[in-house]
Amino acid sequence: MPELNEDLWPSDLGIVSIVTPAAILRAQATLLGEKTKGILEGAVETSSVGDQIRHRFVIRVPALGNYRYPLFSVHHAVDLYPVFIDEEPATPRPALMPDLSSVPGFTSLGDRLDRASGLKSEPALRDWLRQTLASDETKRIIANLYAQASGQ
Amino acid sequence: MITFLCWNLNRRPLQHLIAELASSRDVDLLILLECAIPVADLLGALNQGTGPIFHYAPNRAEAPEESIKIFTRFTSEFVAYFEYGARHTIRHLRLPLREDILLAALHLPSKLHSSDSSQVLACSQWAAAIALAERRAGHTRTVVVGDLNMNPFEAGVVGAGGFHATMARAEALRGQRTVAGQQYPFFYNPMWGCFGERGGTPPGTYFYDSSEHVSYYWNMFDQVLLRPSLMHRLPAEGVEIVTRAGAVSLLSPNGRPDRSVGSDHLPVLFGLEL
Repeated sequence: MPELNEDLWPSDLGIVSIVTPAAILRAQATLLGEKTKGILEGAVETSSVGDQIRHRFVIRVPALGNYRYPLFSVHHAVDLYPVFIDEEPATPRPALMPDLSSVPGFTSLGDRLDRASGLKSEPALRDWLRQTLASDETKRIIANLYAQASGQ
Repeated sequence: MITFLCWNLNRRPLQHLIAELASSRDVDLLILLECAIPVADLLGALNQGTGPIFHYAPNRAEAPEESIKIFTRFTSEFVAYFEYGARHTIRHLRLPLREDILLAALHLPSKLHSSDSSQVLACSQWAAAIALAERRAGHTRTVVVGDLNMNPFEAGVVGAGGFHATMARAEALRGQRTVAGQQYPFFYNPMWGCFGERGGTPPGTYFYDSSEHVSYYWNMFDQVLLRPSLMHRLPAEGVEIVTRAGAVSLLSPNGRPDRSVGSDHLPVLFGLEL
């Protein structure tokens, strides 16, 4: 006769050490504060929409009344990966170039590739993050915010 | 233990002394009054080392000169503002795995610009603002810290309708007192224990030599007040009036605050076992 409190769970629940996208983003957010001596701070704002979890990476400027600049945002399902890119650091466009981003359905080639397939693994997310944080757009935004916060 | 340091800087550029104190005294939360140092300069001085960095937790109502600036080793969301004004900021200090408290930092008007009566009446308003914040927070774990510009024995600090801050723990533990049918909650004022020349410490935090008949010389304008529910969180050593920042003495050879080195006020340091 089966035991009433028989443990039906497998001995191996498949719990492995997975670094979540949120943890990767928060680590970078903390590092921004350390690198700028607290003048700029990174923060990750997490929300959920339906079954999707969205992370917005924000640069905060405490000296400017906690001004917030959303740098990029990504989302993923409960499976964690792939991670889909929703918004990237804004690129300034030449004055004569029309702003196609407002045209419904417009996306750049890179956007279309990333948005369609997503970043399929932790290394892929780290690679994209490395490129994004080192991009000219990100550097320009950080330099501008830093200068304003420092009163330069 | 969370260590707090409060200092009225008298608008002096003392960032290097502040950084030295923050480092050598393991300060977790800095409350700076009359702070005219640009935030970036202060952060630069505070964050020169390799330990956890200091963050600026802005007071949205900051005025250029009469501002209260708070810097913490926690990020600003742990010190969210509850209420603020040009001369006060009430913060909700919510640290993980620790009991949350309200921190009310005040810089009350100077006796140069405010009569004794005005100070007393103003204290009633500050006390009411704190009581309101406590009702919103749902508890009375409150610490008040700052430059009250009054001594602990003055009516605004002692009076039931003011801060109602008593020198005696046993009385404060009663929680409240009924006066003319109305109940007034107590604060405990540990600054009474700092009066007088004990153990070589200065008799107060601010020196003023008046030509009037009555002159106290030393005043205890910089104070820490605790609700009874927080009294047991204050270690036995209580509040310290700080006289050195590392190797630098904040006192001149005559034992008074050295305005050429530091401020006209001395800092106060205390810890809370949260």
